[in-house]
Order: sequence, then structure tokens, then C-alpha cells
Amino acid sequence: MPDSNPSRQPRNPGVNPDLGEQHDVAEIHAALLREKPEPREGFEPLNLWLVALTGGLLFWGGYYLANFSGRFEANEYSEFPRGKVTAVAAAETPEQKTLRMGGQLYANCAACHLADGTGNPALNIPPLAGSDWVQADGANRIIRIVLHGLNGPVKVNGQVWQGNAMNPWRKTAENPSGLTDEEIAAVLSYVRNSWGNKASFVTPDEVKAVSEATKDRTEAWTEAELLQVPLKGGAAAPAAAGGLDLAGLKGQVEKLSAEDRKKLLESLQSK
Amino acid sequence: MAALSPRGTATSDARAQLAEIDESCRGSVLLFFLSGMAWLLAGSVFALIASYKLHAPDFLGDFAWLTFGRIRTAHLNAVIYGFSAEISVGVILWMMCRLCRVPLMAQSVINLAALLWNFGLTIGIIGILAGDTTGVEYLELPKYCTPILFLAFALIAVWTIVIFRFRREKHLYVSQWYILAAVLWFPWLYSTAQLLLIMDPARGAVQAAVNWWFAHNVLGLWFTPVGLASIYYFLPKVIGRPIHSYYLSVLGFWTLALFYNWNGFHHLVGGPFPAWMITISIVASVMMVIPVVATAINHHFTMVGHFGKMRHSPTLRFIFIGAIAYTASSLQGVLSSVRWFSETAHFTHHTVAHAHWGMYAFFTMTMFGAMYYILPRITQREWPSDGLISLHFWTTLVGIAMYVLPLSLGGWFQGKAMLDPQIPFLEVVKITLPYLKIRTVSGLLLTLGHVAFFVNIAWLLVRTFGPYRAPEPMILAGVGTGNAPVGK
Amino acid sequence: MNYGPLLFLGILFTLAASWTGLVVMPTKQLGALQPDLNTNTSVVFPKPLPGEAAQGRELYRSLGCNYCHTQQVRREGFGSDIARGWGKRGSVARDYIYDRPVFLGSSRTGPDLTNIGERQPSYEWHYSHLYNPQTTSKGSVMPPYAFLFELRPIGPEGPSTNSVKLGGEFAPKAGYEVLPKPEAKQLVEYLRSLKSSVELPEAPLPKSE
Repeated sequence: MPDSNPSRQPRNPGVNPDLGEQHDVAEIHAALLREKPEPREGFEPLNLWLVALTGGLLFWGGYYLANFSGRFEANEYSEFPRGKVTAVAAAETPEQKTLRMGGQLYANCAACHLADGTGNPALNIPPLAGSDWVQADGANRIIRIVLHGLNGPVKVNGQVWQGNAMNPWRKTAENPSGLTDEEIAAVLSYVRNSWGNKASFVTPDEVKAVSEATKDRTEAWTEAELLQVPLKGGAAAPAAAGGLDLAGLKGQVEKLSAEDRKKLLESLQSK
Repeated sequence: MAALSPRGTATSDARAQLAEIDESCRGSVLLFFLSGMAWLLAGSVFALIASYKLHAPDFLGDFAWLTFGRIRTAHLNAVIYGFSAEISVGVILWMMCRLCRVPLMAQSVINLAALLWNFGLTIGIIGILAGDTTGVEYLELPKYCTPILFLAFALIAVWTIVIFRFRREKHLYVSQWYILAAVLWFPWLYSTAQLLLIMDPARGAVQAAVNWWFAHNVLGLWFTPVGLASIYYFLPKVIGRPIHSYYLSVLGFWTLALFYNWNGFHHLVGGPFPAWMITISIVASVMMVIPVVATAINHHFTMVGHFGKMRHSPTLRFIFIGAIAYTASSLQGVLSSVRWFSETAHFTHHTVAHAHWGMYAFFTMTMFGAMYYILPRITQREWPSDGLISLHFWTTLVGIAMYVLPLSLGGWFQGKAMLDPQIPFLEVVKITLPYLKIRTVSGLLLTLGHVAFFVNIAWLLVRTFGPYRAPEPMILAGVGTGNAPVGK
Repeated sequence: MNYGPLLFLGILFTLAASWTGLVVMPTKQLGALQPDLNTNTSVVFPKPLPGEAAQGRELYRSLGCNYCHTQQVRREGFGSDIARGWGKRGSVARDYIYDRPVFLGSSRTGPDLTNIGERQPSYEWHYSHLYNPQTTSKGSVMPPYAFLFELRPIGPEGPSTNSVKLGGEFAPKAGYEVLPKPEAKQLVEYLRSLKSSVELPEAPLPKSE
């Protein structure tokens, strides 16, 4: 029993106790006294079910290793045997497919225009949600923006956004990570039909036609140039900055009232 | 064995020998324990800062040396190479001496190792905060301090083998197998990793392969063996019964040795590696069920019928939690490595939760249990405050449960959301926020527990300079009242 | 199991086995990969990083960006990395041969960055985002890196063309502008260099639909 009798207290306890000085080693060390003996092992046999489990797991392991290792080749990155097709999405309509693809491609745009299409006022990035440009009758202008980019101020829903530039997204040799015509059609269809937007789908053919007509263009568009482009109709659009869309202009002049037409001619002749 | 004195018995001689062994270990083990506790406190502070930043990113945001990427790394290295590793060394030295029945010789070498280790780690952690991190996970300590650490590790490894070589006890108990394995495996792991990742980095993806072979094996071939050695020692020791089955111990040890070290690539499921590398690690991970179940049976059947002893023994409480957590976290790990699960849970907070389940709920709690047993024996004083012991136990138990369970769940939800491409990434982040906040609260609880433990240790050390006092009849109730086999 | 040497041999051989399987074999299979020259497009991939981007990479390492961002795209059919637009094909070992250290990453607290240079090439966006992630990504938990920028009074010639465009609550106080330090530019050059949607023999690009 641990003894509190002073006459048997160890001298200088705790400070470098010299065991030889004690009457009884066991006295100062109650913790040691109550200790059980050092641990030892019993000899119960292995559980049979554990042996069975071990065998079963070894079997499974061998099977999995044999069949899902790509034949141990350095170039086989898929664990599935070659030719196996992974799950196919349920049948979807062409429109659903376009929207799905467009949604995936929109990740490219979300960095600036944000996932909910609200744009970023701090960085002068206009919104796409509810945008008059996006929901316009025809997609000729926005196809051009995506193909070649946009520079300078632009008025969206009555508010002027300026000072930021949009990069071109057309896929070329210099820009291999750009988007193909089909991809542009899909993402524009998505943008025109998301976040409350409602407008017609854009077809790959439309994009192709615009792309063909503007194939020599290298600079980004400005708002002024784009406003001259008819929203719909053939690819009769300026091929290069400063080019004239005479057919378009003629169409616009013909729409003017007689009085306005007269005013226009007078103002032109006065130059 | 003949008695040494007329009044002695064989048992008291055995106890005298154990007392001598404890006495010889005192300085070195204390040095490692105190250093480890200091690193635990530092690591806990780093952890709290990092955890808070993850849901309040502007917190202390102006300081480059506290930026999340650095403070998180400082936390990991402080608790792994500081707390966990240093406590491991204290525990394995003491256990090896006791089981081999030899006192610790030439303590000055061990003490030198401790000083080198602490010095190296300190300059390393400062280096990490200053930006000198290597960028390699689990090996972030800068090049200028790793040779110092390696020297310290080498000294410890050599000394442990020397103790083993001069053993007086013929029988090799299971804990000794695990300790020997750990000190032989670690230098090989560490030097390979340093060579192929830091000194002369391998080409491209091979780095990641070596990285995760190393990192997983630090857990599986160092910390797990140390933890298991401790449970295998303290569980039967405190209860006073033998371990259930020697054969299960053998099966558990060799299957662990065979399979655990092939697990590394389960960290890379879905990654840029040939399929066979991933598959082989998944198979090895699933095979781990065998040693884990074998060990669980062994522990359970040793303890069954003796759960009541946890009331009186802090050691048993912590070891018990550690043993259960070992089984649970290992099974969680097996599940996580399977491709089906990994597709969802990879890259999420689920992995972080699993890491803490293993390193804290299993390893750290086990080490706490070991320290509660060892410290009174090497200082020859009793724990001053049972209130602090209870506080330590309950705060850490509740804290770690609060950490791992919600965060495992949160990580799963995070993963499910990430799998849906329609859910924008910022929405996925929002899903994780409540779980991250719960984690910070749990961290506060854990830190409180650590402080309580530290205070109790400091108090114990102060007592070492005073006269011996009989243990107070509280948590260690039963002593001196005839319940304990005093003198036997 | 009382025989020390037997124990020692077992310990040695078990680790030797995995060392052979998980260190030596991958080195043999992947350790000598060379960049690929595509004979159709004449594109060599991958290429070592140019100067500023390489310096930016050191900053990425030093700041610990690796702990929240991965740089590995999982293949089509496993996870939704490609569907999220994080890449056009799964990453393969050859993509990383010039990386020291490799930043595969193990956590996606933030999005994957393998192809961030393709997804987001804008300097403006990156400067704003690094200065304070809330400017571009409200609700993000990414920390601010304002210490990579300097707050300077606007000189007599007016604001610099390099100043970071910050609006609303993030704008600097009147008369001041925020300019990126060289470190910020290096880091952004590094991020812009992260592009890997290049076809490789072992990693074809999916055909456009």
C-alpha cells in the first residue's frame, strides 16, 4: 500500500532518485505496484469464417486484377476492356441535345459572363440574361461577336458598357482551342434560351454562312459596325472593317418615309 | 529468478527491473513527449486558423505567411512530423525497453536526436510559412532541414534496433514486431521519397506515383504499426488478460505488411496513370479488410467483459476509442478506394475527414492513452487532476466525432454535386460551408482538450520536484482500497 | 515468431515488393516519356514553360495553390470533369513530363486548373480574381492575394493602363489605384499557360458531334 508514513518517505523524491537509497523499491512507485503483468498472447484459434473471408477476398482480388488492369500496358488508361461502351444517355430530342451541349460549352463563357448570365459590372462585362442583343430576332450580330470578338463600348438594354474587350472564339490554326461552327450554334442556342431568355435556336448552317462570309476578318467588331448588319437574312454583311453593306443600306433607305429620305439626301449633298 | 533481497519476491524483482527501465527512459521520453505536446499546441493553432479561413477567406487575409496554402501545410507538418512522430518515438522507446527488458542506454544519443529533430522541424515550419515549401504533399519541409531530420530519424531507428539486439527477453511480443517493422520501413520510405521527389525529381507523373507510395506508407507503415503496437501493449496490460489470439496477431501483422504498402495509388483513382497501377492499389486496399478484421477480433475478444475498467483507467478509455476508430476508419478507407465511391468522393472534404479519422481518432487518441500510462511511470508521480483528464477525454471524443462524421457526409454531398455539370461550381462550394463551420467548432473543442492535457502534464512535472503523494481516490479510484493487486 | 532475422527478412521483402511494383515499374513504364510531335498539326506537346510562366509556377508552389486546385482531368465517363468544361480529354502521364513538382493536387475546394489558360485567358479577369476573388466569384472561399498587388496614389498623368479594374466596394479609395506586382503578372502568365487540349496518341480528342 502506498505509505504516507513520513519516516519511510524517500529522500529527495523526484529529483534524480537513487533507487539504492530506498528501503523498498516498491514503496515509492505505487503506479508500478498496481500494474498488471507484462502483456502476453493467448492461443485462440483463427476464426474459420475469417479464413474463408481471406480466401474469398483473394479470389476477388485476382479476378479484379486480371480483368481491370488494361493488360498492364503503359498506354491503357481505361480500366475497361477495349470496346466496352459506358452508359449511354437516354434518348433525347435534337433540341435537348443542343441545349445540353450548349450548356456544357457555356462553361467557356461563364468565366466572364458568369454561370447565371448576369455579367460582371465591376469588369464591364454586360449581362446575357434578358439582353436585347441576345434575344434579337436574328442571330447574325451575336454570331459575329462570338466569331471575332467585340471591342469598345456597347449599349445593352439601354445601358452603355464600355472598356472591356471580348476575345474571339472561332477555331483556327492560331486558336486551336476555339469553337467550331456547330459548337457556336449550340452555345448561342443555349444562351438565347436560358435565364428567362426566349429566342429561336441558332443552326450550324447559319453560323457556317456567317463564318464563310467573314472568313477574312481578323479584328474584333465594334458596336457601330454590328448595328449595320441585318439581324436576319443572308450573309450579306461587311466582310472587313470599313466595308459597305450597300444592299443593307439600300434596304434601310427604302424603309424611310419620303420626308426623311429628302432630309437625308439634303444632308449628304451638303457635305 | 532469485530474489535480490530477503524481503523481496520474484514479482517485486520484476517490478524493480521495470522501475529501473522506466527510470532510464525518463529524460529522453519526457523530451520527446514535451516536444510533441508543444507541436500539438502549435499545430492546433495553425489548424484553427486554416479551418476558419476556409469559410471566412478574408480572415487574416493580408498576411502572405498566413495564407491558407501555407498555414494548412504548416499544420500538417507540425502535427505529423512534430506531434505524431515525436510522441511515437517516446512511446516506442519506452515500449521496446520494457518488452525487451533492457534499460535505455546512452540517452544522450536519443536526446541529441530530439534536439536535432526539433531544430530541423522549427526551421522547416518557418520556411513553409515564408514560402519555401517544396510543394510535394507530406514532404513540404524545405531541402535545408530534411537532412537534419533524416539524421534524427536514423539515430532513433538505429537505437531501437540496438535495444532489440541486446534484449533479455527471448519471446517476441506482437508489439515488438510492429515497432521493428516501423523503424526499418520508415528510413527506406523517407530516403526514396527525398531522392526521387526532392533531390532529383523523377519525370512527370512518376513523381506523383512515388509521392503517394511514400505518403500512404507514412500512415500505413509508420503510424499504424506504432498505434497498433500501443493498443496491443496497453489493452491487455491494463486489463490484465492475455491478447485473445496469437494466430490472429500473426495473420494481422503479415497481411498488413504484405498489402498495406501497395495501397498508395488509391489516392490517384481517375488520375493520369495506366489502369493497372490504380487497379493494383484498389485490390490491395480491399485486401486490407483482412488485417483490420483480424485485429478487431483480437482487440474485441480481449476486452469483452472488461468494459467497466474504462471507468478507472484513462489509458483504457483512449485506447478503446483508438481501437474502434482504427477499424472504422480503415473500413472507410477500403470503401473510399473503390472506383465507384471514388468517382464521387475524390477531391472532396470526405478525404480530409477520413485522414483525421485515422490520424486523430485512431492514432492520436491511442497516443494520448499511451501517455497517460507512461508519464506517471517515468516521473513516479500520479496525475494531479482527474477533472482535467475527463475534460481532455470528453472534449477530444466529442470534438473528433463532430469533425469526422459531418465532414464525411458533407464531402459526399460535395462530390455528388460536383458530378452534376449543371450545378455551377460556386453552388458546390456553398453546399460545403455548413460542414466546414461545424469543423471549426470541433477544432475549438479539440484544442481545449489539448490545452487541458498540457496543463495536467505541466502540473505533473511540477509535482515531480515535490514529495510523492498518494493518488487521489477519483478516476483512479480503487487504488489503496484493496481493489487493486497491490504488491502482487 | 521469436526469430529476429526471420522477422527482418519479412519486413524487408514486403516493402521491397511494393517498392518494385509502385516505384520501379512506374518509372520503367512512364519515366522516359518524351513530348509528342503530331505529324498532322506539327504541334509538339507538351513544351517547357517560358520564362515568366516558369517563375509564376514557383509562386503557385510557394503560395500553396495546389491544396485547393487540382490539375488533372478525369476521362470521359468517370466523373464529370469534361462535361464541366475543364478539359476536352482526360489527362495522361505525358502531360506532366516537364512539371517539377507535379501539381496533380488532391482536393477541389476550387475548380480544376488543367486548362484554365484555354477557359480564361483574360489578364483582367485573373488580376481582379487574385486581388479579391469576390470581385469575379461572389461566395468563393478562395483567399485574397492583395499582397501580390500594390496600392499606389494615381500619378499626375492619370491612372496607369495596367491598373486593375475594380468596381464598387472593391475599388481602392479615391486617388489610388491598384497595380499588379511582377509576381502577380508571373502567376497570371503561368495560369494562362495551362492548356492541354492537344491530341496525343494515347489520348485522342473526342470527335465533335
